[in-house]
Amino acid sequence: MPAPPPVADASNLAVSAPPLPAQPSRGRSRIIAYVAGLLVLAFVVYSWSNVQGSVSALVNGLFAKKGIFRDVFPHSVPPDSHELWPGVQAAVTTLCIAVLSIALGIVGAIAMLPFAARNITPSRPLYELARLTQAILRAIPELIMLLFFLITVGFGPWSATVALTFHGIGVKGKLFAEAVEEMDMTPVDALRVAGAGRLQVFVHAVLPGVRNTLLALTMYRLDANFRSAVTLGAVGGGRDRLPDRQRTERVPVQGRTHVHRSS
Amino acid sequence: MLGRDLSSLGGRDLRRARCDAAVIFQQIALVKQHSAFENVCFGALGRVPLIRSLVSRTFPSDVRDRAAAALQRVAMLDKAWQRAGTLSGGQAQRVAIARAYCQQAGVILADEPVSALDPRAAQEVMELLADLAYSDGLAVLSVLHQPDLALRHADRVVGMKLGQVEFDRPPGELSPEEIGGLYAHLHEA
Repeated sequence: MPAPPPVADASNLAVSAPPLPAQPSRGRSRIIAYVAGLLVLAFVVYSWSNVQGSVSALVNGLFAKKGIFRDVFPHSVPPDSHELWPGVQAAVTTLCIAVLSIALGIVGAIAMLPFAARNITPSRPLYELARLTQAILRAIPELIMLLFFLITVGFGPWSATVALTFHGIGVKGKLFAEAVEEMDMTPVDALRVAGAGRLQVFVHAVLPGVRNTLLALTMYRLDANFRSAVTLGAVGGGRDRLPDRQRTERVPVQGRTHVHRSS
Repeated sequence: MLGRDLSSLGGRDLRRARCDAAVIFQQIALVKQHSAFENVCFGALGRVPLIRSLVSRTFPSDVRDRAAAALQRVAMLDKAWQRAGTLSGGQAQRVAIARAYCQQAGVILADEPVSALDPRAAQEVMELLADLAYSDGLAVLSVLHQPDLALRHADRVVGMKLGQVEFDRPPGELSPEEIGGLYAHLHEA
């Protein structure tokens, strides 16, 4: 057996350290960073008092006589068999609201996309208009949007769907546009230089380039929309049309899991 | 180009003028999510009616035939349905050349077409470009940073230094000193 090669002596490998140039002092900016950090911390503490934060109130509330652990859970487990089927139906409606509003929202957001992304928009004013429209749609809370459609379209899940669609066009429109602005433009330029028109470039280079990003954003928004559909269902956008004598005792929440029986 | 001032054109005229020159990029610039075949078809988008150009299945048959011939020409026919993003650099650049060929332009402008490739792939790409020029009579203008590639494949070499033309001659009449002179200033400073 040949002798193993000598192991390199680590001390031989060490290079003599050259004198490092002095690190430039960040004196002023470091002080500013500390001050900013302290201000943020102070505001967090102030917020606690502003919202009347209290650990004891939370704990007492949860374990009180009418609280979750001593009253609600024991009464709702196992669930009342009469409540199970309507509950499932409501949950299905919630899912339908979320899925349909996402689908319609994607159509709207993609229709605006050729104008709303700065790097492919045909004109600056159209870009500003598209982004402004999206900002307005985002700025109106889903609940306010729902109230508007409850009045104009009527109570029920369709109003919730329309409200979420419009809000979603604002959100997805912006997210999609930002995805396009971040994308690799070389294939886009290549088709453009080959003489392709705007729509051709959009369909064959822009959309394929952002397809996966858009899919991921859509999945993320789907669970946001599902969450919102639960809330909107509770205030008139659900299956339980209000007013309904039989159901006034219940909280008409989509996918409700418990009915609180006050007795 | 071709007797037109491109910077004065806009809209439809510019689009039409762009159809007359195919460009090959240093970054290759294929649509990675599409197949090699579709990418080659995209070269012809400028002359396909809009309504037939939105889905690759409805591309006119003459475009599809031309694209298949182009792929065969660059020896990539067997990879026609492979996604462009999964091709190697040399294969991708050959598909890009097929795309330029499918465009049916009289001029091919190549911007450092082999900078991102290994020497063997670079050789293949340069041979394809030279073949398009000599066999098909296309005007191929290529920017290169390797003088030996230019000397080997081109019939006319233009040396530029700091934006000025230093020489413009067939490769046989150039001396190594002249070529070395192009890069001399880079090492002075």
